[in-house]
Amino acid sequence: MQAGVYFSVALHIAIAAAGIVVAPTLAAEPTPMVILPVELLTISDSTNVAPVIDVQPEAEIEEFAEEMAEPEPAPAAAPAEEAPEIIPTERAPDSETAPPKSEPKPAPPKEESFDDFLESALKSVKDNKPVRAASQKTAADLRNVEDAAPRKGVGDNVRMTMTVADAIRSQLLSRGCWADQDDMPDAKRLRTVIRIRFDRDGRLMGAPELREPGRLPSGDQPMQIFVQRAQRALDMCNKPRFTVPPEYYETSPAQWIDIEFTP
Amino acid sequence: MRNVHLFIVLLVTAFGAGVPAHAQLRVTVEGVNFQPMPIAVPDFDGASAPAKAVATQMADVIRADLAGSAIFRMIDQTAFIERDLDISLAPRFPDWTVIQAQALVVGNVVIDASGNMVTQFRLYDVFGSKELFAQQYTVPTTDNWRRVAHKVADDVYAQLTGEQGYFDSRIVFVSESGPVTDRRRRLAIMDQDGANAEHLLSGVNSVLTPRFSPSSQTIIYSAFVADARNPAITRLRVYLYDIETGRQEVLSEIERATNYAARFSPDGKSVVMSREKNGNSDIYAIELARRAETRLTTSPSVDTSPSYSPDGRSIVFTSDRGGSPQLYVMRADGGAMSCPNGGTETACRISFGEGNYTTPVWSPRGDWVAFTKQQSGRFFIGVIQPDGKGERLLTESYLDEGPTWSPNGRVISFFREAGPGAGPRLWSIDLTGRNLKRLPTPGDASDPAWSPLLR
Repeated sequence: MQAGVYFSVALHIAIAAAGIVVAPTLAAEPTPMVILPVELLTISDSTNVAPVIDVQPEAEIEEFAEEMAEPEPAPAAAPAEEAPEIIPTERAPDSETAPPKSEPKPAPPKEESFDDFLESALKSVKDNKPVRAASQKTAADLRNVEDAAPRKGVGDNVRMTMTVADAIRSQLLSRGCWADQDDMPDAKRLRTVIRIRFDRDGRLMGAPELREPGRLPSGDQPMQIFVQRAQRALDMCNKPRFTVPPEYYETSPAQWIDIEFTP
Repeated sequence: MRNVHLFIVLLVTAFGAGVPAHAQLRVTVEGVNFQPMPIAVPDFDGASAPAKAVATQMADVIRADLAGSAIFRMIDQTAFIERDLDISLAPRFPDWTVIQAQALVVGNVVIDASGNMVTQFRLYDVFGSKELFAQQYTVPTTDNWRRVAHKVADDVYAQLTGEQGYFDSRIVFVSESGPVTDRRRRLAIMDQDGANAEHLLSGVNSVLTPRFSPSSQTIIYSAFVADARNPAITRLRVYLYDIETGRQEVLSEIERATNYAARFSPDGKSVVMSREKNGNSDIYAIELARRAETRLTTSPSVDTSPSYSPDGRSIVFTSDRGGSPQLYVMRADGGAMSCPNGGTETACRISFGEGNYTTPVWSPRGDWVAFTKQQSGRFFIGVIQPDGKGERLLTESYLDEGPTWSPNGRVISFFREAGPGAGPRLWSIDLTGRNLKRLPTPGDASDPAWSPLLR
């Protein structure tokens, strides 16, 4: 009996051990071999990354370098009353005081150490600074940047609406383009809506469009005059131009604005 | 395949074109701080030396008319950049926008061989760079140059404000002179700007409350006249006076009754007036052709100062039936009417303020009634809507009285005594309460009445 028990225990242990060893090999399928291309680099190549800068075209860099190197030209002598005919002659030599143009000479090739490389990289950063200054953006460029893709948050549309509306209203009133119309007969009933758009310079784009009333009532002279005054108000403030907040240009194409004129 | 693409493109284009642009933003602009419109009126050109002289004078009158309305601000001629304008050529608009002229008037005068004076002018919208109006007037003599100038000013006014002007009109008034104890009150007339003032009557009888007929040819007025039987007694009579012929006649005379405060109806065919009899004043209408009378009020109170509405269907008057003089409106035939405050009455009270409301005059536009108010020893000229709403007091002084409307219902003239002993003078004020100014008269003047526009 006792021998049977030992035999059974030994048999279970043997089966369990066999399962542990054999079962994983039965379940797993063979995975295909993936070959990853690996390029071996020196450490300097992966750690000394050059800064991202706007690289000027080579020609512009040379031109800029020349401008920096050459002295200011001497002021020309006062012209005679009658300018003599200019006769082409041989090209005059450069001023003696002007330093000769220093042709950039390539350094003799030598074996480059890590320290040398680091120094040259830093130097390249310093050398690039004036190039960046020379390429400062104009106001127009800056506006283009702003126009590019501004991120909008919740309420931005409301803010823009308020800003643009206030700006237009304020200019029509403060510049005297639109004033109290109490002199009009039966002024309380008068009201007109004119639709406009602005171009990038703040000028009206195209002719203002009369929206309300749909067309001028031929027998209603006060209303005709009132609409005429509203159109004149836009013409007045359009000369030289409106000052339009940049928010207006966040949408493309330019949004329409309905201006309601009341006495 | 290419055809399919073309079809889709056309479809999208057509759909897009058919959809109206949607405004994403709405701006409401309400006018504040009234500002007169800057306008430039250079001297008119003249084809000859006499024409040039008249042209310059005409431009002066036009400028004075427009600036006097206070609706326009005249730009000084020294500021002009473009000069020697030719009416047949468009002006250089940028030269006028730079001096902020919103409108420009260019004109010339030609006097032909037979003496006819031809006046041409053009009105330009400077900022719109376009012509708004052009007109030509031909008169047989240069003597009428002032009227032509007023007509040009009226045209400009109408084109820029949307309502008719009032410059080619006249004012009849009572010219006063002499000491208080022996005051002469003579009927006089002048242009609305004070020019061409003249007396119409000798001044034997004291005149009061003159009023124009709608044709401006006839004046109705009251006068204290000595009784033919007993010269020691003076009686108040109502006369009709023809300006052209100088002929006049008594309108109506009843024993033991006095007629006064008469006015024409808008069609000029009848007259409405007060008649005092046995201590009671009532309002009567008289048809001029047949002299047929209609009694319009029967109240035991004092009903006086009637004035027709411009459509002739209603009359505003003063009555003390409520205890103190106040303004009432009734139908022109005296029938019952629905009152603004409810109920049906033969006369509806429209003023309810403290003090006395007198001398109501209905505006030619029909939207306001001007009146004199007396309260706490001060006098006011005010306006109120015919339904009793919107009462506003425009002036205040020691004595302001007798309002009369300009033909366009825009300006009110009245007479004022600045203080005790100061003589009466004519003044005017805009309906909005702006532009209070004195009208030039040769001497003391009272009881003004504005004519309709002359024809």
